[in-house]
Amino acid sequence: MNKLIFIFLVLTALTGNAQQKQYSSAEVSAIKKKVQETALQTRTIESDFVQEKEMSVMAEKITSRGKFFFKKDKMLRWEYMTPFPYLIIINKDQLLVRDENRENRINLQSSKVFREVNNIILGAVQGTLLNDSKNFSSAISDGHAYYLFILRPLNVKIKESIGEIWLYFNKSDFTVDKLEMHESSGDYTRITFLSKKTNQAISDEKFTLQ
Amino acid sequence: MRNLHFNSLLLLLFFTGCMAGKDLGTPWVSPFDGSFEKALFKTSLDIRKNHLSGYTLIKKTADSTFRIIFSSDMGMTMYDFELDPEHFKVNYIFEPMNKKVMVSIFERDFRQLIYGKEMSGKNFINKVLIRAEKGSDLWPKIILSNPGIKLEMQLRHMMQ
Repeated sequence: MNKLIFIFLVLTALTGNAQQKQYSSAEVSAIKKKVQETALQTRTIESDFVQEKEMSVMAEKITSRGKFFFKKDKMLRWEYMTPFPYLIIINKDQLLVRDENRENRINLQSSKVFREVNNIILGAVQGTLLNDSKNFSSAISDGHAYYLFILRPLNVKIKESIGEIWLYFNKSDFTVDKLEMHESSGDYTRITFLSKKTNQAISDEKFTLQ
Repeated sequence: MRNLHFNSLLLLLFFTGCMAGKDLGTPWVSPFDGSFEKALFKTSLDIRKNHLSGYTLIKKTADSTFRIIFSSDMGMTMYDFELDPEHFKVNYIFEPMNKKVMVSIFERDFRQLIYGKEMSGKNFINKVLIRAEKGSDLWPKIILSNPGIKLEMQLRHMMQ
């Protein structure tokens, strides 16, 4: 009898799966191509963001909010406003990190770790990380309101800190609406972009490392 | 001459005023005892020339057992420790900090911070200084330092 119930459960689970949208490899390639084209046409991005760090084991959450600006080729201003100010500016090969007490400037040419982190951040906000097959494997996850791609770092060192990066692409404009960094512990950080504007003029002053 | 005296007095008052908040001579009284459940702290951590900033969550998970998680401003976990009077478990530590000596320093620091007891051992590296300055709410601002290895951690309580 138990065996019968088990078979029944397996079958219903399978039917449930079959009803979900399964993307064919041609469809996945088409989505990836669209993402790449969109990134190519995007000169600037300006957006508010909400960051939620979910500590699943502890059932706790830390929420912070801020604003971000991106300008091609390699300029990024990532600014937390609440609960505490914290600012990151990337301007080509220079990185500035400023918190309440301290300011740090790092030349990205001299630090491999920071260079890699920098590439991940820039690739994630533009969505181009999806096509970075040299550093990440990617798989589409079915049945979401977004095109959700799950990226796994190929580099062992990066893998220790970031287990997976989940990129949620908007189905109509192919930009990143949401991203999640999943750690191996099960904890994750979700960043949701709000009031996103693309290709609006942003002055270079936003990215000066004063 | 009179002016010089006055200035010296001002200077003296200024310095004693600064020192008073530090309470260097008072033994550390742990606020993590009794009815404590959990607390979130804005955290800055300086180890030699490295500066980290983020959030520390300290939560009592069972009787006398605590979980301590430090996460950077961008959300990346830097360390995740579990502590009880007998054991210290490293659930995770960011690879560049994953050194045996570093882990034992963290254990010692957090043991003293949470249980308020100084651990035995006369090694200068193991010397932990904890002081409390007046904070914005009922919690003091906690400053933990390990002068032997130039480590300083500041914990500012956050209302949730």
